[in-house]
Amino acid sequence: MNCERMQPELEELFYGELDARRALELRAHLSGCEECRGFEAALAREMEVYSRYPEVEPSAAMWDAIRERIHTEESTPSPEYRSRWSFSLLAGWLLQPAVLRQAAGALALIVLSVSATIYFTSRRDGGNLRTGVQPSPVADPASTPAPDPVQVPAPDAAGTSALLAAGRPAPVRPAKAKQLTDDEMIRVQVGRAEREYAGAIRLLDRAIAERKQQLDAGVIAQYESSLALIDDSIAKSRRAMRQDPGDPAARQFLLAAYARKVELMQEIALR
Amino acid sequence: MSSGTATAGRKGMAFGELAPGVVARAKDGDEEAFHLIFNRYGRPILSFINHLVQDRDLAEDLAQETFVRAHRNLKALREEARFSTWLFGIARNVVYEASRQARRDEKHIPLDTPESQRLESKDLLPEGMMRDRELNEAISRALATLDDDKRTVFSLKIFHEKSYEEISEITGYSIGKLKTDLHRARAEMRRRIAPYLAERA
Repeated sequence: MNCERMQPELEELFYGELDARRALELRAHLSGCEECRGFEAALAREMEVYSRYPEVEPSAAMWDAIRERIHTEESTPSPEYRSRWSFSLLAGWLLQPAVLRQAAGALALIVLSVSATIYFTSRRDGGNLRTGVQPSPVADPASTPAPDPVQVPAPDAAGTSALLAAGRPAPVRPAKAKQLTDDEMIRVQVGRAEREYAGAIRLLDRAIAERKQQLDAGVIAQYESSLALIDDSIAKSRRAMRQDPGDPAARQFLLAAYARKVELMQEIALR
Repeated sequence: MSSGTATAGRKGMAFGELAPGVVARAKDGDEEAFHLIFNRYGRPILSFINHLVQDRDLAEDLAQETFVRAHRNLKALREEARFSTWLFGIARNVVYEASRQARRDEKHIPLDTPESQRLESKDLLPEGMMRDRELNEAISRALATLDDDKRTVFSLKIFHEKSYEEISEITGYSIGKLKTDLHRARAEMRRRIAPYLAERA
């Protein structure tokens, strides 16, 4: 045997990695080979030296640091996970049948209420609105096909009735409804529109809150600044309406501000 | 032949085994069980990383990262019996990632023996202890001269007594490659520490 070439195998034998048959052969060789026994003794000395090479002791603070990081991770998902989580949560939430129904209902009610309000406003003001303000296709009774009364949502029956009234013989209204003056009717409609806008805003606000972390900080800042301006317009219009409940401009401003707010929030929520 | 001596010792004597079920408890979110795991493996993992990076502070940071990743991925561990191999594999990946990142950032991960590990007051030490420390410094310096692959397999085999199969699993190297790397690493180490061994003899 060539002893130098056997060294790798002798190392394997020493560290218990050699198969049994080859180990027997090498042991037989070792018993009669002084050079290989010398190599084996050198391996044993090396091993003794290596076994005394000190290990590194973790510092006392190491476990605390690990525990803190683990707790932080548990309470704050990773950015990648958070991003996926927020997106799927938002998508999941928006696609829930209840949310879809609420959103669709709110939007339908808003359209109907706003239309009704504008119709009443314009009728009371003798068509000023039509000439002074660009009419919305929905708001303009002349251009709006009359909806089938069967499909009209019950909660908004009064507003829809107003819409239906345009261009056709006045329907027979219940006696109670007839007792309301036009001003009262307008106030009811504005109040209803406000509530409906508020419902839509709440839905959108929740969606945006979930989505905020995904949005650029600049976009958020711009959104919040625009929102503050719109909220200011809403507050001013409300004050004007309190001072003069019959002020058509104040009503118009109020509803326009709500519409702009919903539009802005939709834009951010769907961004 | 003293092969029994080599495989008996360091691992078996230095660390107790984990009680059965500890890893399973940790997988279920039991923090105390994970603390037991840290108590059992904190030292060998930190030492392994220190062998690779030769920097005590950096080693501690990377060991921390190793345990945090292990905790994060514990549920993916299928065989509890292979926990040690799995953990060493994470440690090795953490070190290699840090090394790649350092290269990208053009930072220098020191491979020479840092000042903190050098003797500062040899005169105050008894002669035997001084020789031990000199020898240990020589081993550290010799380790630092090995290339990454050789240093990894040498540390796993000599200091952590892993089998070829385990080393292959930890590193992803073939048995043939790691046998060759190990033999060359042993030879290089032997050559570098030979003067100290002769002095001891």
